[in-house]
Amino acid sequence: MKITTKETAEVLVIHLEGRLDSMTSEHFEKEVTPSIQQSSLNILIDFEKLDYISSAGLRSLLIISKELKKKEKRLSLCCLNKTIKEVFCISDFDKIISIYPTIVDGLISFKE
Amino acid sequence: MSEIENEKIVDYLVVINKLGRRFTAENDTRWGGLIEPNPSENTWKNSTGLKVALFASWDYGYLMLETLKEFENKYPNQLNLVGLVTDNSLNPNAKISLKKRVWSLLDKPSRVIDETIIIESGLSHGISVYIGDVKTNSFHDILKKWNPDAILVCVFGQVIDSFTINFPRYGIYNFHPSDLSNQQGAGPAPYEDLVQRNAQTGIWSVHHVTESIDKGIVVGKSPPVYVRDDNRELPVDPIVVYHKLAEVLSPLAFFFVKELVRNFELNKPGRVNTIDFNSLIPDKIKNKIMQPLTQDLWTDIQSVPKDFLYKSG
Repeated sequence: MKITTKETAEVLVIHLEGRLDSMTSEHFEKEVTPSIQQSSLNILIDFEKLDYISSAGLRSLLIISKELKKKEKRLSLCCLNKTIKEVFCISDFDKIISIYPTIVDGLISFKE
Repeated sequence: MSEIENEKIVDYLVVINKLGRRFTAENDTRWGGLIEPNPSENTWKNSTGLKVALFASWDYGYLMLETLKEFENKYPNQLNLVGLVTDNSLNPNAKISLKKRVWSLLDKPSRVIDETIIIESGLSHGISVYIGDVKTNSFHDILKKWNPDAILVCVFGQVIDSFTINFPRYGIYNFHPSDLSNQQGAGPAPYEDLVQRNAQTGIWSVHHVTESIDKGIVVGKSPPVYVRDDNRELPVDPIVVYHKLAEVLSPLAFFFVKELVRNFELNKPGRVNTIDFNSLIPDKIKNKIMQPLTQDLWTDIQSVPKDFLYKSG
């Protein structure tokens, strides 16, 4: 899995490429956790090039979301493909993590 | 959530992930069914040693499964994990006391993760995973096919019937996080028992499974696990306390399986009637589990301590 990041004044945007599963979720958490600890940015994760997310990937998102909440910050996701979006809706993940159709929508949401 | 929606989640998270995995719902099960791994998963797994089936769920079940897998990886000729049966906590039709047990403390996203992670872990080890009703002819047929010599149970939501209880030659045993021999904490809410008794420590019991829940003969008890924090307070979140209690689960499962394997290798079928965990578990672990709780330990303890298992072999 490839992880690239870009920072704005308020948001850390993380672009994921490939699969977020048991093989990659530990690496993902290790990459993201220092950003949560060292900065006070919200996080927007771009799923456009993510092919698959497993339970382990969902677990990582839940952990990140909880860590951000402790700092009164938010995790949002954008550009989910149809199948992943459906899984998020059925499993109620969309009730604890905000989902936006585009990066722009996601970025605007942090200004509201 | 409908059953179809539930199956969509399981399908997405554990079946379509690997081509060749199959989900089958038998006609006589009221919920769930059997998920079979791709035949190419874990092809090195052999079929020698004590055959064990695990009926378990949630984080405790996952930890038990990982411990048994690690045991089998290290000693492939001694142990053969043959199947996993787990709670289908996402299915509203499942008769697993959802509202009384640990599941009632968890939101749906957490249940999705907990259920599918244990299923994925079993399938990737090359074993079938059953998530349906166990009191059916079709499950009895599955059990006959697995043909376990022993069954271990931990956080399992269904009453197990006499067919299954009487099936394994080396017995069926439940791991329960309370001191059952002193009539403490039987049933679905051991945390409430700790609160009511104003307890400093918790204890695990391993007991024979009978058709009455948590009533079978206790064969062994864990050393005490300190469940309070630095301020000597019992955390208000039951999950945090349950995770602290889990610190000793992996060693308990390891030494118990070792005892079963010993009986198997001596060709001595029958139930284990007593085991002295206190003398088996190293002092280092006993000291560690008596330390105060500083944070939710799950992230630290979910990986089985491999060095301990290997040294204790």
